[in-house]
Amino acid sequence: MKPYTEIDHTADTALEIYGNTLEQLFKNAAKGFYYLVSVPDKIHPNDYRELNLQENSLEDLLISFLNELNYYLMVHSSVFSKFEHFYLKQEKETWKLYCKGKLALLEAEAVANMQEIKAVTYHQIRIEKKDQIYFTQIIFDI
Amino acid sequence: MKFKEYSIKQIDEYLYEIPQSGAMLKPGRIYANKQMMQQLMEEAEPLQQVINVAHLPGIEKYSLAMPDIHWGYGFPIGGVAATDWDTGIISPGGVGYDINCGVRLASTGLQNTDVKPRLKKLVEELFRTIPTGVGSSDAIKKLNKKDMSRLLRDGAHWVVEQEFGSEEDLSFIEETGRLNWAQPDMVSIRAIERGQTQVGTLGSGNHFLEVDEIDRVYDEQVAEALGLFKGQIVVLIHTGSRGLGYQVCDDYLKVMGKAARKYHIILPDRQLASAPINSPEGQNYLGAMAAAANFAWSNRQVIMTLAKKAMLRVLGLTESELNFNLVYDVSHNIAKKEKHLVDDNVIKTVCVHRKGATRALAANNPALPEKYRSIGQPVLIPGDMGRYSFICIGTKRAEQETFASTCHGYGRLLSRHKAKK
Repeated sequence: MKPYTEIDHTADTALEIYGNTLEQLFKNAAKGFYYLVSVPDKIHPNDYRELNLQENSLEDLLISFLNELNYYLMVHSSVFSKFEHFYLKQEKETWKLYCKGKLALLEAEAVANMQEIKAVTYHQIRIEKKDQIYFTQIIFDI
Repeated sequence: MKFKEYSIKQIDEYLYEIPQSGAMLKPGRIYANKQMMQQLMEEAEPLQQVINVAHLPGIEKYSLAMPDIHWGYGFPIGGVAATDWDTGIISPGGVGYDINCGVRLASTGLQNTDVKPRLKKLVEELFRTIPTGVGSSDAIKKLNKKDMSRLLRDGAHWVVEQEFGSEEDLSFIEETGRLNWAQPDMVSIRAIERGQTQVGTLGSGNHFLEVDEIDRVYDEQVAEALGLFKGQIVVLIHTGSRGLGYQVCDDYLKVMGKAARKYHIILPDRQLASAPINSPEGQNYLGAMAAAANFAWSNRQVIMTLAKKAMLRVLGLTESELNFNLVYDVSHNIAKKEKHLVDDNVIKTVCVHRKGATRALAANNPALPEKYRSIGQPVLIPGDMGRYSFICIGTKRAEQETFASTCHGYGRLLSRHKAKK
């Protein structure tokens, strides 16, 4: 199963993302995001970072997660190379995410050649399940 | 004409109306010709967004769409809506992620022959001096938190004090480059972090700095008042509030999502999430939005100054030989407190949301600098990068029909993939 497909969009860019589990959906969303911003193939992780996020819906949690990746890229020139721990949990009306991953600092020249994402939008986002596969569509404002 | 369950009536050659129906509080009006309307009806989403905006509590007159209307988030790009300042709402979706994205035009005393022999070196120097691209940063020294707070509060006024440009420039910027109701404390730490190294940077996407030549003059009197002439070299800058603005919008979309539930505001699109202007959430967003707007004006002021210095260096000219002057700076993603004529010929204070739309004041408006009061406000409308851009002038008709608004010039007909094919 491919992790994501790029979708044609008039003004910006969009991905359809797939996963056998919700955790895989989220991790594939990260892969798709890094594909859109053109992270170089060779990166050298040198640190670990944990993320603890919570939102009132799974969709909001996914947006927050991707915005967190964007923040690390834009402010710290860093990307997550691999997630070693990745958990999603629903507690009453709150969805929580915990992950721990290896972080790689990118060279300035590599960052300069990448595509900037202004924001991960909420436009028509819905996480659905069909034929045992989770999928969602996300539009990125560039 | 029919669009889904809505009827569309033609008002004149370039104006169509979707009459108020269902949960719409006002009609929708689209400035487009017949061919554009047919295309919009096929695309569907932009027209649906015009209809959605017409649901906003407190909306006055119409949900408007300028001729470069296309698909946005919440509002269509090219969308304009004014809401009653006392009883209506404010929506970050009506401003956009890139708060105060806008355009600035500077003129020089030069002609093509003065620049062409050194054009390649000039472009290289501009690239070297003004960072572009992802995470572009460090055009000027990283600002500490105190300086950031001052910049967010005072906008272009503060950067002029830091010797980027002159006091005279301020008159030629919309709102003199400062919304005086900015509240830097309403800007998150994360937004500050994103903006600290980005003052003086273009960013990416459709942002640009262009060295242009005036190709055609349609009105000599207006051109003279603007200090422009055929064959003149000018500099056009398009950028906004960079990562700071994007983060402010994102932060407040979350706040407004909760506020909409709190104030029982039911809207057809979550990206229209909003709060009453006179609520804590509404006031906080206005304060943060104004701070981000001030960042954008500061950004364009610094970029212009850096561009001028690059030209002086490469062309080996004195200041008086270059004769570099700010013509005007306009915003096309912003919400402003303005007085306009609404229904029943009443003048009301409204919150005008312009998302991919430019303010266009007519002659004699006191908000204009003295030099332009006899002609009206310059309206800067860039075309595709590397193609024609236009300098227009605001008219009475805009003030009467569209809350003094017009298009901003970035309509997109094809996706990047389709365009490449």
